[in-house]
Amino acid sequence: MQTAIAVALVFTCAFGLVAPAVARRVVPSAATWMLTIGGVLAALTGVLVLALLAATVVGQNDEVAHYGHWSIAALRRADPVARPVAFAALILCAVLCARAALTFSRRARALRVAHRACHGLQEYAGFVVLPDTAADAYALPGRPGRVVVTRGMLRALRVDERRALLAHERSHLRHNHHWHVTVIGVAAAMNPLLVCLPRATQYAIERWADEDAAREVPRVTAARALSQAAAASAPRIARPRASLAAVSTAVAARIDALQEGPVRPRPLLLACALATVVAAVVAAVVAAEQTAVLFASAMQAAGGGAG
Amino acid sequence: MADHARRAAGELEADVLGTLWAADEPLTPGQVRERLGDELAYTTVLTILTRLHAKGAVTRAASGRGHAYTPAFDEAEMAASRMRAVLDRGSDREAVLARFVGDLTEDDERTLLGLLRRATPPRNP
Repeated sequence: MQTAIAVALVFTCAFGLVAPAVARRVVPSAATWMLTIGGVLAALTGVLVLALLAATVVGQNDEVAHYGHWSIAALRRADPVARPVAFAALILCAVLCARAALTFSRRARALRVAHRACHGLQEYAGFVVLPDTAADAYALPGRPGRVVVTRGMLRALRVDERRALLAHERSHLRHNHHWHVTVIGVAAAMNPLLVCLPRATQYAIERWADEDAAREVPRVTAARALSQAAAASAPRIARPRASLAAVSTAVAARIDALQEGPVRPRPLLLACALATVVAAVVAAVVAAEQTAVLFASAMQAAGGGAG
Repeated sequence: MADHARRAAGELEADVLGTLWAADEPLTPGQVRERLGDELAYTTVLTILTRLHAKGAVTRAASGRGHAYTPAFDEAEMAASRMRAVLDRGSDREAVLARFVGDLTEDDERTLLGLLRRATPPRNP
């Protein structure tokens, strides 16, 4: 059981490290899905592993054992997990689940506020304009969502560059990118080994939208729109917001990627990233089976003692 | 074919409205056409402007023998105050927005300036 758990943790950790690197090299839409599906699986694996480590110590609780009809003595004899480790796992499991629930409720509330705002925003010709002089543009999720652009941004771009910008933001809304960001945010809160995933996802969805924009305008135009927009909003970094400076969406890398041409599909690389998370899941399932066997034998011992 | 024409019409509307927003003063249909690169017929631009006016997206004032068009600022002010309300609430508000540029680091900015100097062709259509 301990071996299986160690294997599961190693592979979860490997996915957390490998996935962001792979995501940068594969087609952005595939990268986004790989991060989302893999992230959810890895997060669940982490919680399952902690629960398994805690299971035997919880099983030795009188009331739980009575309810489950197994022998505490038999369970204690067979228990492969040191008690301090089991207790630590129990506490960690509870803390991480609470953290994930908190992150989810905060994100859900933010999304609800955005949804409500969309209803009140009148759009013409597919976008909402704010009269601000600072250059900014974003997709506000809702049903339907809204593309919000400031006047400053429209001024910074030429006609064809504006088309690229609008196509980019429409792509975010069409593919529900905010859900990927939300799901990954919750997964990373649930499993600290996935700490690099939210940033990788942010980059992947921006690249996805960039590629969609590059389908409606020439690649050069899409790249130029991005660089002009970034240059126009550059003075904003003067704002003292150290915490946010770290979540740069790596604009320069996106511009480079647009200029390099379409991304080559790399199914093997994608498969490798997914294989690590699948290995983690399989190891966790094996550990769960071993734990189930442990409890089954303790039940038998209880049954034997009674009869 | 009809679908294609309709999509193109929506795109033209966006082009025209974007041009009005980017301008500093009210524009006549002729000026809009000029800023769009003279590819459209004058009547097409006029039709789009009339449609935008009917929707309430732009206002117009008499200018010479025709009209000069301005985007609807009242609507934009209202949108701005709504957006301020959204962004002032909740700590995760930034997480729901997919920003076009996002926050730039100083490194990003340096790379960008280099790229722009190197890669941007002269800005004429």
